[in-house]
Amino acid sequence: MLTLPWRLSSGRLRARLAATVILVAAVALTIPALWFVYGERVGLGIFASTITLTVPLLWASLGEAVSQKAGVLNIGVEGVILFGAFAAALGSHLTGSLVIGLGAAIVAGLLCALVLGFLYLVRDVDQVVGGIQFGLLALGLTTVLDTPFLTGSAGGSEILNRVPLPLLSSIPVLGPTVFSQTVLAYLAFLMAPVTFYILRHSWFGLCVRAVGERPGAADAAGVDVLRVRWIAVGFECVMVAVGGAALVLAVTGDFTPGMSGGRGFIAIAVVMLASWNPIVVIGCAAMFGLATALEFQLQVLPVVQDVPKEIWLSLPYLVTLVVIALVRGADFPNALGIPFERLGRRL
Amino acid sequence: MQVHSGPTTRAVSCLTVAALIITACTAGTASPAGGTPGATGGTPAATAGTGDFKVALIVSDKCDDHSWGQAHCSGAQTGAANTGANLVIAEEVVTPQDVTQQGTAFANQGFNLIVVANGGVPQAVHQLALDFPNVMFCQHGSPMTGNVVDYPPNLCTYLVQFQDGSFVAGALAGYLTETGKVATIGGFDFSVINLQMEAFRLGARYVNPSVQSNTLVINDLYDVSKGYAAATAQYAAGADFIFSGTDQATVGFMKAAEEAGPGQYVVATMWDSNFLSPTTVITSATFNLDGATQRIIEMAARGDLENRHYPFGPEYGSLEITPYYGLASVVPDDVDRKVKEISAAIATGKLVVPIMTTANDSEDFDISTLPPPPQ
Repeated sequence: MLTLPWRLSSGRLRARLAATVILVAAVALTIPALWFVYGERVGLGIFASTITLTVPLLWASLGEAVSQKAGVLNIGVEGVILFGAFAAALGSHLTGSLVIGLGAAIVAGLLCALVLGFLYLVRDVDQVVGGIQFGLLALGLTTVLDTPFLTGSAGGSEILNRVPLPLLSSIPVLGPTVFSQTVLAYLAFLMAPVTFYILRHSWFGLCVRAVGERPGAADAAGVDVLRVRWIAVGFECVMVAVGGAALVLAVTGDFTPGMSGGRGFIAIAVVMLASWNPIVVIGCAAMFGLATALEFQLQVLPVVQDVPKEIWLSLPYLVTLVVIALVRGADFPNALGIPFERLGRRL
Repeated sequence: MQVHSGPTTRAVSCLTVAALIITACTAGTASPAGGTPGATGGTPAATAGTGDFKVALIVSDKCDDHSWGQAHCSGAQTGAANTGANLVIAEEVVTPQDVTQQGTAFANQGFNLIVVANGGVPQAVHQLALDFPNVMFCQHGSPMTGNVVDYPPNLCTYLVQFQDGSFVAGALAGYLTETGKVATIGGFDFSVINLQMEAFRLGARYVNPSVQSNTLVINDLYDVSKGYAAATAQYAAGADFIFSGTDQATVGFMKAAEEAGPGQYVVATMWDSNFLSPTTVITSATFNLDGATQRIIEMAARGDLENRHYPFGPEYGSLEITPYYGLASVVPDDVDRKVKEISAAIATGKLVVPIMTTANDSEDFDISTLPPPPQ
C-alpha cells in the first residue's frame, strides 16, 4: 500500500474528526426523531435492531483497529468472520453447547491468524491481494463444508439468552431494551475501552503504534517488529472470529454460506472512519448498524414508506460512500500494508 | 501498491488456485439423494433406487432449510423412491452460470430428467434444453406462462398456485388480527414471491376490509439477522401477523415475534415450520410443494412428462395450510370454519384468487368482485 506522501495537519485532522463526530451524531439523532414522530414502540424497535446488528461489526472493527495500528491491513476480515461463524455453528451443533461453539470460533480465529500471519509477515504477500484471496477461500470452504457438517441444523439451534443487568435493566423505557443483551454484546462494548487502554496506555500498545508508524525506529529501539505484528494479527483474528460467532450464537442459531454479508469490509471502513480510536469505533459501528436497521424500518413507516424502497435498501451503502469520502483525508498509520525489512535483509 | 516477486508470487498463485478451486466447487454441492456429499460432476453413489431412470434435482437452497429447498428435496426423494429412479441432488445452485455448469455436468452423465427448482434462471434452463435435446428439463418457479411455442420439445415448466394457500392464510390472519394490521416480508421484489405476498394481503382484506397491510423487502432469502431486523420493524409498526416470502430468513421473524411477546405471529411458507417456534408460527402455507415435484418425477418415469406448462392448483394441494398445533386455542372454531369454507370455495372454483405479480397490486384490487366471504 502506498504511503501517503504527506501527513494531515493537526487542523485538518481536527476538522476530519469533527466531521466524523457530526456524521455519527446526525445519524444517531435519527432514533429520537423517529421515536418522537412514530412513537415509543418504533423507537425501541430501531434501538433493539441497531444493537443486534452492531455487535458483530463492533467485534470485527476493534480487532481490525489493532492490526491496522500495527501496520497490517487485513482485507481478509470477511473470511475470518465466515470461519468464526462456521466454527461456532459447528461447535454448538455437535456438542449442544454454545460455550464450546464460542471456543471453537476462538480456535478458528487463531488458525486464521496463523495463515494470515504466515502470508503477510513471513511470505510478505501483498496484503490486499492476500486478504481478498483468503476471503474467497473462506467463502468457498465454508460453503463446501456446510452441507456435510451442518446438515439438519438449519434454524433449529439455540442462541444465547439475553441477560438483564441488575438495576440498569429496570430503567424505565430504555432499560429492558438497552441493558438486556447477550453476553457477547456486553463484552463487545467492554472490549472497546479495554482495547483503547491497551493501545494508548500499555507497553504493548506503544509497541503496536510504533511498529505501525516507524517500524525501523522501533526495531532500532529493540522492539521485535514481527513478533508485535504477529500478536496484533492474532488478537485481531480472535476478535473478528468472535464477531462471526456472535452472528451465529446471538442472532441466527445457524450458519448460512456467505452470512458475513460484507461486514468485514464495512469493519475496515469503520476503523478508518474512527481514526483507529476504539472508543470512536463504537459510534461508527453503531452508525452502520443503525443504517441497516433503518433500511427495513423506513419501508413500513407512514409517509416515508411511500419513498421507493430501493432508496432505503441502499442506505447502508450510501453511508459507506459518505464514509469513503471522509476517509479520503484519513491519517493512516505510516507503515500500513508495508512489509518490514530490517536494514535491507528480509526477516 | 508494492508487488513482490519470487516466493511471494508462488504463494499468491497457490492461494489463488486453491481459492478458485474451492469457489468453483461451491457452484452447487451435488449429493446423491440421502445426503452423502459428492463433488460436482462426480459419479454419484447409488442410493434412492438403482434403476435405469436417472433424475437430478438442481435446487437453489439447502435440503434442510425448512422451506423451498427442503420441500423440493423431499418431493424428489419421494418421487424417486416410488419409481425406483436414481436421484442426485445439487443444493445451493443459485446463479444462471452455476445452473448451466451443474446442468451440463448432469446432462453429460446421462441423466434422463433434470429438475431445476429455481425461478430466476429460465434462460439458463432453456439453453440447457437446447444443448441437450436427449435430456428432459423441467423448471419450477418461473413466472407462469402458457405459451410453450418457443420451448424446445424437451423442456417443461411447472408452478404451484401459491396464491391459493397464501390467500387462505391471509384470510386467517385477517380474521384473527387484533391490531388491524398484517404484514409481509419478502426476499426480493420477484414475481413468484410477490404473488404469494399479495395474495396473503388480499385474503386478509377480503375478510376484514379495514385491515391494513404492507410489504417489506430485505433483498435476501437467507439472512436471519436481516429477517429479524425487518420483522422487528413490522411488529413495531403495529403488525401482529407476518407472512414470509423468504426462506431461512423466516427464522429471524420467529425470533423477533418471540421477543415482541405474546400475540405476535408468523405465517411460514413452503414447509411446516411450527416446530421451529411453536409459540409464534400459527400456520405454514405449504402448498403441497413437495407433492408437485414428486408428481413431476413420477410422470417423467412413466414417460408421461410433456413439453408444456404444468400448473398445480387446488386439486394438487395448493390450498394446503398446516394445523395450528399448540396455537389452536388462538383460532376460534367459527374462524376455523370460515377459513375452511374459503378454502372449499377456491377448490370448487367459486372463488378464484387473482395472480398479482407486482408489489402492492392487491391494494388496487376490488374485493367486491369476489364472492362475499363466509358469515
